[in-house]
Amino acid sequence: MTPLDLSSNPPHPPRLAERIFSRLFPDSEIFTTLGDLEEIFRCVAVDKGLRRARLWYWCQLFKALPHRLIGFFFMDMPMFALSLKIMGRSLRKNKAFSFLNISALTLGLSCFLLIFFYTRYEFTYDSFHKDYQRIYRVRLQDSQRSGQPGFAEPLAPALESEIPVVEYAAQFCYAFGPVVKIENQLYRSTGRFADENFLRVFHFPIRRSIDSPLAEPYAVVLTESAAARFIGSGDPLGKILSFIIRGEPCELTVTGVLADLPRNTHFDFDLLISFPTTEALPEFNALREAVSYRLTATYIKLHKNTSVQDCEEKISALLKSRSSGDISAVGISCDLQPVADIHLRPDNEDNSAIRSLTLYLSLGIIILIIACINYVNLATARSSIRMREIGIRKTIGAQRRQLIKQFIGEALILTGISFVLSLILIWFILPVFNRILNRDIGLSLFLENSLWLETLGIVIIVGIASGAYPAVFLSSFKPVRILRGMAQVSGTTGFRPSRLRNILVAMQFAVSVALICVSLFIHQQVRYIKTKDTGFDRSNIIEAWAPQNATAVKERLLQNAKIMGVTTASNCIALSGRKNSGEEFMDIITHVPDSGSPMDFRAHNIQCDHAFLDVFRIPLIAGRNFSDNLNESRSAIVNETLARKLGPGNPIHKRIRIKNGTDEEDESKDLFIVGIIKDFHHQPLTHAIKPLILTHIGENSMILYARVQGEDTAGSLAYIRETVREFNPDRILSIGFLDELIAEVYKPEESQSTLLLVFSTLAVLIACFGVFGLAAFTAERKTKEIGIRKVLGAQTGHLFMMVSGDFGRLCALANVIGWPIGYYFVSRWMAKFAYHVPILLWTFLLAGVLVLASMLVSSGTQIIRVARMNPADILRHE
Amino acid sequence: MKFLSRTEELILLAILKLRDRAYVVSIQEELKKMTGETWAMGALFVTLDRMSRKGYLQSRLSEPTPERGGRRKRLYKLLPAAIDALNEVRNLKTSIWKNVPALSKEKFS
Repeated sequence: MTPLDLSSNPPHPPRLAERIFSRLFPDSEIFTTLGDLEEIFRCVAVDKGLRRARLWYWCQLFKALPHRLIGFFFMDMPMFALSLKIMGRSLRKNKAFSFLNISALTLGLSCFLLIFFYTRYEFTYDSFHKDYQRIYRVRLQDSQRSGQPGFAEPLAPALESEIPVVEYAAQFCYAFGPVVKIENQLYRSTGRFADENFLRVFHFPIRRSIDSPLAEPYAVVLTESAAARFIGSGDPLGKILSFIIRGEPCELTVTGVLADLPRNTHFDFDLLISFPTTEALPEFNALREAVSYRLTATYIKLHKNTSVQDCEEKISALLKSRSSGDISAVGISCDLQPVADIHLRPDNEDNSAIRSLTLYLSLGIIILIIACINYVNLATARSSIRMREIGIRKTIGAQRRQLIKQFIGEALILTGISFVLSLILIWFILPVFNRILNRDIGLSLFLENSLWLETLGIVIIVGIASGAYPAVFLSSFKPVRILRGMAQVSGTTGFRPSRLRNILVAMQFAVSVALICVSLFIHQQVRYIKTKDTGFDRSNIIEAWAPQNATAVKERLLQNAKIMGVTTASNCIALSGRKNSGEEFMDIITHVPDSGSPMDFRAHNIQCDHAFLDVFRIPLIAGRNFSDNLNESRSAIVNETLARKLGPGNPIHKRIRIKNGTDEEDESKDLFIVGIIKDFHHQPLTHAIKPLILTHIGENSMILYARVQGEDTAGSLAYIRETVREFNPDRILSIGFLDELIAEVYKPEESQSTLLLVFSTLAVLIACFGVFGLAAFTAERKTKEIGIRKVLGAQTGHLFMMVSGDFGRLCALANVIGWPIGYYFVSRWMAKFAYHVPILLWTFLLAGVLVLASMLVSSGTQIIRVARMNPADILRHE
Repeated sequence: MKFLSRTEELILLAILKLRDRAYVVSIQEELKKMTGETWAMGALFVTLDRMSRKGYLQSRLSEPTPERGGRRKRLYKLLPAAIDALNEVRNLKTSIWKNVPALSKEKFS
């Protein structure tokens, strides 16, 4: 509890609550009451702290609220009790209607709230850091490499000392998954290097630590769960852990313990190794200096009230003055990325995450609108039931305004009930939802960030939106006509409610058709990308991470009869150019023609051995493969796309050069093309096939691929795992089937497709609830007509057509409206993929037929029920 | 003739004790002292309003005070009718209780 100094800076009650108070009770007394409340608020603040006092104040508001609302909508408590009673009666009297109404609203609200929580969750990534608005990631734009979040020399110290607006600059460095060694057992970790400023810039609560835990070399800070894993119970501080960082062993002392990371941060580490340690690891340090721009990210925290643009310019100027002549010629610029943006927009150009969130949100709103429309339709259709009540109320003096308020009040109560039900529903659904999306959204989110206030607002808006039209409509009845028994309502408003109902139903189904179209296409597309021929044979391939003794491992594996081929490569065949940050990395290739000036372009590079093409069954179009016997260090095999880039003429024996950042141009390293292979997809299908160059791999391979026989693949996997482990004793292996790894890449699309399918089905379901209700109502009203028609010889089929035909026509109209909308969204979504299924007509037709069928079924059951009754039973009453 | 309710009686007694400092917050405090319980503000407002209408109380607005965010208080003062009503309740109670012997549970069991 913070001590409060009342005299100088008295705490103020929440201003929003105050404003709501004075709005809700606009009489002259409110000011004295507010004064009373403020006085008590201060007492509570002194006694129990400011937080409790604020809570108390809000509670006062909510205690006052129900009475006030009841007073507004139902005049006073007795009237409210009466209305509740009548409402309860009409709900009980038509159990089916009430069920439809409430369950449709509940479903709609649940869908919407789920999506709403999810989007809110996504937008609050990394906003728990103190002053997160002032924290930025420094990104360097180099005209040759796209957006590398780092730079060749350590940037952070220079930024902090030379640019005054920078309060702190922190370095954060990828560490290749350091391995913890405890009693000869290896444990994987997701450790990173971070300097002491890291914990100053970011707000990761420290549980226990010495002063500045990351300042000295050989220090490590664990998260709580990592401490429990590696050290167990007992005081972790001062314990020594053995690490192997990219092959180099070192002993690190635990200097601190952090709380486990919250899930909504873009960071992902379970331990932090002090940055000075990197300098103590010679091999790693050399690597870091060579490719620092790929490993180190720099985060800065600015002082208050500083201009970001100004700071960007200063950093760019600093870089230019610092860099050697070679680089400044290329033109480096810097931009600062707000830390809260990193999750949703890892790249400046990449808006796809935000786009799909808006897609979800609009989907939620659409479903909510469909549910509201249901309410409107059912309420107006049922109006005849409440006509007598309205007539009597009006006769004994109710004014129209009062009736409107009463009906809106009823809608609000129903929405409130649905809201409570949907919260319960969400409580059950959330675990599944989280699993699909790989998030940990909890209902506790509801209490933070004043989300409950927004949710409450939404519920009230939904209640009013769905209650408004029925209220106006119902209250417009003329009591004389009603009580004289003239139940024909249509003439009273000048606008036939049945027409409005038809328009609304058509709208509902148009939206449903569009949604079904979109989800069908996305479903097809996901199936397509999972099964499309990628140009290489990925079945029965085992991928293993085997950075040491590649030749020995290969020889040993080939002795096993079940292993048909083994090859090594520098990176994954299906994900080339992919980095941890999710950005694409490409080498710059220069084509050096015999005459004329060199030409630069970008290409992917996979280093591999001679067995690569055989193992993956990639056909060679021209030239030759790498050979086992020759020195291939100056040979290259290219794909068709790259060959086309080189222009006319036989590409074989053309000379190309791979530029490696700051490398000197060196003619002795030029490569000559020896072969051309057929194009294959070396990236996910979201990308078009890019130029690819295969070069011969030396000893420093990373990944080993083995083609195994179709039977007993699990046995082969175990065998390969054992063998690789034998030759890589101090590494942790990752091993798996290639096709499963590739499928993993498309997980986000797959979950998107699943969600969309579920939500569209729900939308159609909710719309069908509405139609079901309307059809039931029509059937009830036309019971006698149907009876008479049957007596006169009409068939059940005719009667069905008579009533459902209307709905059928509406549905046809809905299709015509829904298809273009669906097409628009489908084509926008497909634009993301370089390869997609053709947008074919039959899918639209299928969506239309599906919706039509569900509509006919939901309306037909009611009609047929009435039509199959014995006309004698129907007509006997009179 | 209707007698004062227990709530009304206690509130009037609190105002009597507070003299010219009687407004909702101080009345609430006083009642807490008298009964040991925290009375809901709403209950006080309703009762104070009712008694004002019945002619037991008179109220006026005070000068603005800084500890309430510069807002006025509504101060309450007893009217003669309230004194009568209080006396009436008191007399009624004493006259009835006078004839009641000391109570103990044993006698009834």
